[in-house]
Amino acid sequence: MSWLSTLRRRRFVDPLTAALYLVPAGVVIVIFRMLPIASAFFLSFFDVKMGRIRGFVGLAHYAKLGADPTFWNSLGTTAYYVAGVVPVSLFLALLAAVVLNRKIRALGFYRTVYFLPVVTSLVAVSMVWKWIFHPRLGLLNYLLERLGGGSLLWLDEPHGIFEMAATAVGWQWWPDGLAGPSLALIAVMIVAIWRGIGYNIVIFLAGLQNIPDQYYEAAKIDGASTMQIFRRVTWPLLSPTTFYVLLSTTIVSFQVFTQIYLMTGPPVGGPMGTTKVIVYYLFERGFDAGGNMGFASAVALVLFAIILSLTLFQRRIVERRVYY
Amino acid sequence: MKRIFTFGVLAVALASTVVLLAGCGGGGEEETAAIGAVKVPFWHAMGGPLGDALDELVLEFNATHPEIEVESISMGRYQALSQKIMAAVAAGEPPVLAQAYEAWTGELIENGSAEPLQGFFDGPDGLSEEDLADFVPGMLDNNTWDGVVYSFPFNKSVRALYLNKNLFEAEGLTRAPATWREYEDMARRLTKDTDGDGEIDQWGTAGQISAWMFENLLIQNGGQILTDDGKHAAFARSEGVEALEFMVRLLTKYGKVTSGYEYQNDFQAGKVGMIEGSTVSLSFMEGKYTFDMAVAPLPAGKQKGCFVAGTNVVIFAEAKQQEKEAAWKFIKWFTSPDVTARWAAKTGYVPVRMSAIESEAMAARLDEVEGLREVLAQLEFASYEPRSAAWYAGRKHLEEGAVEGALRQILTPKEALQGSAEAVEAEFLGVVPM
Repeated sequence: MSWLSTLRRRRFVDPLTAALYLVPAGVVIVIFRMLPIASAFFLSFFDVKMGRIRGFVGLAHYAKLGADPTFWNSLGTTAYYVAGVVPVSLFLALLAAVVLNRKIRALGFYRTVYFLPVVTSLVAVSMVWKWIFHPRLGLLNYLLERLGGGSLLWLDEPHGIFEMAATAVGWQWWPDGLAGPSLALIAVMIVAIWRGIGYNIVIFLAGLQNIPDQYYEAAKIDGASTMQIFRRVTWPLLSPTTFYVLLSTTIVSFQVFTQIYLMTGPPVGGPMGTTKVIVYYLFERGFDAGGNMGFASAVALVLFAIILSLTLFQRRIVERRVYY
Repeated sequence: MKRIFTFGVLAVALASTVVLLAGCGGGGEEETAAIGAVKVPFWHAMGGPLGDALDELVLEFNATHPEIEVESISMGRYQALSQKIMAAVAAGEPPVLAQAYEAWTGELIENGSAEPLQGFFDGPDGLSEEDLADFVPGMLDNNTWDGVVYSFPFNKSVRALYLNKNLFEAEGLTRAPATWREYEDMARRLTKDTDGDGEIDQWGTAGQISAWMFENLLIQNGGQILTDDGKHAAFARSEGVEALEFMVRLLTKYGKVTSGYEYQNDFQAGKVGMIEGSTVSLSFMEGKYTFDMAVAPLPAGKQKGCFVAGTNVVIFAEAKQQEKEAAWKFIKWFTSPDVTARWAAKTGYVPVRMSAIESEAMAARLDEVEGLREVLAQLEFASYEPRSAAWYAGRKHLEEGAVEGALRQILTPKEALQGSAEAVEAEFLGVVPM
């Protein structure tokens, strides 16, 4: 096998071996990720109906998109959703992970409980929560009434929560633009947070366990308080994990679809379109009767551009504060 | 050893899945399936009592036509049906026969996937001039594109007023409202606090958020949905604003707006004087109320008016010639006076043939349901909704935006309609009208 050792001496085999190892994953990624993205880009300049390309339309889909108030509404709805779900989910997951990282009793039980929603079918979860939120028969309103509160419409409530709060404290007037996300959207967000939290806890736990004990011991010897230890040791050393969780939760939140499809309406995206997120808008435009895959592809690309630029922004700005 | 065990488990799981699937697939039709019969997969969205009624007729057709086997396949709801049809056409494997709204048929024609039916009823197994003239006026026109009939009316309905006669009589009301003014007046009189606790517990009327109700009021008020060229919204003009104002007044002052079909349950429970519904609501309410009920045509505004709703059937161009012929036989049979009358009597859909209204099967039904004859008479002046794909998408804006916003009293009827009209204009932007 002298040729092999010759090759090895010339550092030829190692890149080749590496390439061979990369082939399986590479093929899958190219076929199922790259090619669809490229074809979506291509199709967004054409009319595509029922699987057939009907003609080149240039940037017409993008122009129509910009002129469609429903598109802008769905973008705003998605922004509310992301702005609500990401910080709350991060905060709660971190809190739970820090607690679960201690040597408490029945640790395994709690870890399982928090992870259970993640492994449960999202369809089943959505149907159960839909019942919990039901205005007349739901568990939540039952509990609220038991506690002496009034019942709420939840998934049927199109009013913005800020506006509802203002009305509740007796204000007669509230600017339309500041009504906030509808209570219906908040209900969907609650489910998303509840469901996603277990996954983030696991990631945070892994991050926490990677922090060497010496730092904690040193801090304790120096007489640091629990809060100081968290702020000066845990938080900075956990920052790579936090950054990853931030990125992945943001991306996943932009792509929310299943809960919206199953929990809202009829019609889906209701009440009054206040839960029509961008991916559902895309779905409707592509798959409903009269749908145009070219137009839906344009929506997908706009969403892609938004997520990409946000991720780049996070890498440029937020990553400066990450300690590796 | 372990591997063998795993394989065993997998094999058992796979086998039981196959068995289960086979069990599900057969439905109830296998006993009538003749060997060598032409199979006609029929995709539809009929469920509940409607699905049962359809399956029964399909079985009867298969039994009387041994050379054909129509396979009734329910997709549950219209949205799912449309998505399956569009995906199946894109994949090149559509069924032979399917229910379709006019907007879908328009899309299918554009794609070359809808078989013109004209050839069949001009052909040897066709329909005579007499037969064609017997169809409810306007129904065939509504299935005609550029002078060619592409689809046939299948399950069509109109709106009707359902009255609780006991509550009416208790109030000294002897007949259904004939005008908007009477409609509002009677609803007001039927709205009552029966036990004196300061809360209203009997409502004049009730309803859900429905673009269809608004469209009917719009046309009764002399308005129109789209401009004459079909490319712009016209529903936000003053006729539309008045119609929506009337609808809001009626349903929020003297009535209740419920989500879904809860208003129908409240009516069945005797808590509501009258409700609007589709003629099909009859089959869903059957046997669920204890009072004397009557139906009546919609009250007139400036004029009488109603929109026909419901779908048609299309045959797919991709099917084999003998499958198409078999599908046509089914359509012809289903829309024959006797069968359409039985379908109508059972489901509440309107018969598609005028002679069916006078048939024996229908006579019993007309005796049974007071006022049904007058409700069906609305077909003589019935209108049909715009058929373009842009309007199909635009209609959602009308329902989700204008009607919902106004009924929830978040927007005034005027601003609600203007907002929806803008969204509808956006729908028409860049869309080639059919």
